Amino acid sequence: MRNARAIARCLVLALAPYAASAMPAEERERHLLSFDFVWTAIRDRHYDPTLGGLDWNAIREELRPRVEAAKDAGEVRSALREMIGRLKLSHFQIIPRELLSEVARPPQENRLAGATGMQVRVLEGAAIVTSVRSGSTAAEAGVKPGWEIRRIGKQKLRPIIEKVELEFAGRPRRDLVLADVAQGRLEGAVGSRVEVEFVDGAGAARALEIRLAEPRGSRLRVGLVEGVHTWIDAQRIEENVGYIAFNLFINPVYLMPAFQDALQTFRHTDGLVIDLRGNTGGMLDVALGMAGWLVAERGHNLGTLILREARLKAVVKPRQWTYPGPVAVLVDGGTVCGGEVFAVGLQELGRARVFGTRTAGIVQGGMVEELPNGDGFMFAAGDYASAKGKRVEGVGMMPDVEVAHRQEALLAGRDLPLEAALDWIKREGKKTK
Amino acid sequence: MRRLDRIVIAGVVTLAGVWWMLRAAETAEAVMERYIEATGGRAAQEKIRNRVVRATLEIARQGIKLEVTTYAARPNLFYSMTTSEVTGPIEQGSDGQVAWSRSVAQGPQLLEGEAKEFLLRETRLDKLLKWRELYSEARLDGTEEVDGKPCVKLVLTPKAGRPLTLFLDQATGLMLRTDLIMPTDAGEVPMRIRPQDYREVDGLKLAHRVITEVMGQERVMTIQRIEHNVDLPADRFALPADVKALLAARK
Repeated sequence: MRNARAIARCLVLALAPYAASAMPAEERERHLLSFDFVWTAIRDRHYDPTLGGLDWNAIREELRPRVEAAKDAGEVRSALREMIGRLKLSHFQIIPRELLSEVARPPQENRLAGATGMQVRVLEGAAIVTSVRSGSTAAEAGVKPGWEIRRIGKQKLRPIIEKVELEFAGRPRRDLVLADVAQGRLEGAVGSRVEVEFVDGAGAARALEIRLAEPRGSRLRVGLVEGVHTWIDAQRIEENVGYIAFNLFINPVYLMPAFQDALQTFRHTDGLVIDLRGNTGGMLDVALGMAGWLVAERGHNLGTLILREARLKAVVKPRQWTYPGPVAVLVDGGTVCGGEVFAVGLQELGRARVFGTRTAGIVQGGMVEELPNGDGFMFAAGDYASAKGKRVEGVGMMPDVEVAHRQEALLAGRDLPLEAALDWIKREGKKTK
Repeated sequence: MRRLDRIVIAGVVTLAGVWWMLRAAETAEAVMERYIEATGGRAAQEKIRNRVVRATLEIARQGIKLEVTTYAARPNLFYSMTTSEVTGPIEQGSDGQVAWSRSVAQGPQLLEGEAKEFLLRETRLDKLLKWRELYSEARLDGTEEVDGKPCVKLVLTPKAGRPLTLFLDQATGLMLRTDLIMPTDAGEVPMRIRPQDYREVDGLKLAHRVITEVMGQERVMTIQRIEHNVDLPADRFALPADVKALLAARK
């Protein structure tokens, strides 16, 4: 009997390595290739070639065996996360393959083509319509701000939102990815239709079929990406406040004259609101060129870009004429890159007051590359420091006045961040008078 | 016979030593002159009054392609136009005194300090002929291979600004690489420029493909056409009206 137990124990011990190696050899190889990919990418492409003084070879020696011995993908991710965690930079992340499509859809899916004209944000675990552009196909279908999107096609949204919230908890990029859970599914080929189930203001379910139309604005091929649409809206609101919103800092030939014309039109207004909510950035030159119409004095910059090869100041070059009134900038979790640099730069110069919610914290691209094992590796090619040395990459920028959308307010036709900005402009106007 | 062998071998060794010493003693000035000779020589360079270059510039792996046209005339006049659908036109120029740039994104700008000095110096058509005036020091810095070809490294220090290192092919005398730090108003940008595909144009050997490595990007300029001594409009290098207005406002 004792012998039998001893044999059994030996068997258990003998089988232990096999239990740990239960993963098929091919899968293990893909995990090891993924580990090597991440390790090499950081060594060769990180903007700080000293890697903060870490002994990168020693880290490889320490952690690679954990991938070799991993029982499942979770243990592989844990080793990879520990490796990138040693850099103490929050903009490096391993994204599980099941969520990768929520974060980085390839451009060949042509997701920038057809659109409904709705903006969606996730508020308290639900995808809520925050705006519906007048004349859009969503407006034609009768969609109203404040409605919840419960389902798109066959996909119920709340379960995915729950998973993404868990994976991205505490990360500024969370809002962007969450919004994309719905927004990404509302884009597709022009002319196609998407079935959407809403819950309206009265709590009633409404199933609507919405046509995807050619997005508005100027269409341009930008490098490898075909069909990038840039739009700009400019209007006078609240009697005498200028309001400018645009979606990208791309296509200067289209954007800059429109921005300049708007500023000239608004030159005698009580103030200006620049709405960068959902602005996904673009060319830094364009952001700096716009700032040149708002900052009158020379010698200012909107921060420093930190690249492996150089440190570059984002210098603002004042135009011959600059807008003189108070400027409010609206941001949210969908404000990315050039939008963040523009907002934090003007905020620190005291030239703008920023309203809304924390931005996405993706200044240097926040590139996501697919690893051989199917997971995603998110990293930044560079870093950005504001003029006062604040880090935005992986952290986001905080507005001066934190104010978020609320579903009840949206249903009542109110835009709380915009209202806060307008109140401030009114107060500033009174002070000046 | 064996003694004769030894004498011959000793002679060859001695000659090789003398040649090596002469090479080692070669001055930076001589290397620079050899470079000028390799490009066609002073006489051919002297004949050039102006140059027009038409090229395309591609940013590798990003699918971005720009059209570039540059005009340079003696003594130090320069104008370039780089354009693409994505950026719109981007211009740079100098009337010999004022250096400027203009783009749709940023509007007209005056170049100042080292950025201005760099443009005025490095775009000069007669840069090679006037190198003694433009650079305060030229020194040799050993040898290094570029694309498997042994090169002499020649460091030129301008009167104002950071030095640049030329890698000159020991066999042909032509430049195969330049390492430099370009001053901009945003900061210093390290660059590596690799001229290739040298072809003869009007008695000069000129590169028809130039690869620039800058900030992790590889930009490939392919030159379609180089023309010399063209009849250029009188105002080709004149300051644009908005640049003049900017200049007036600064004064």
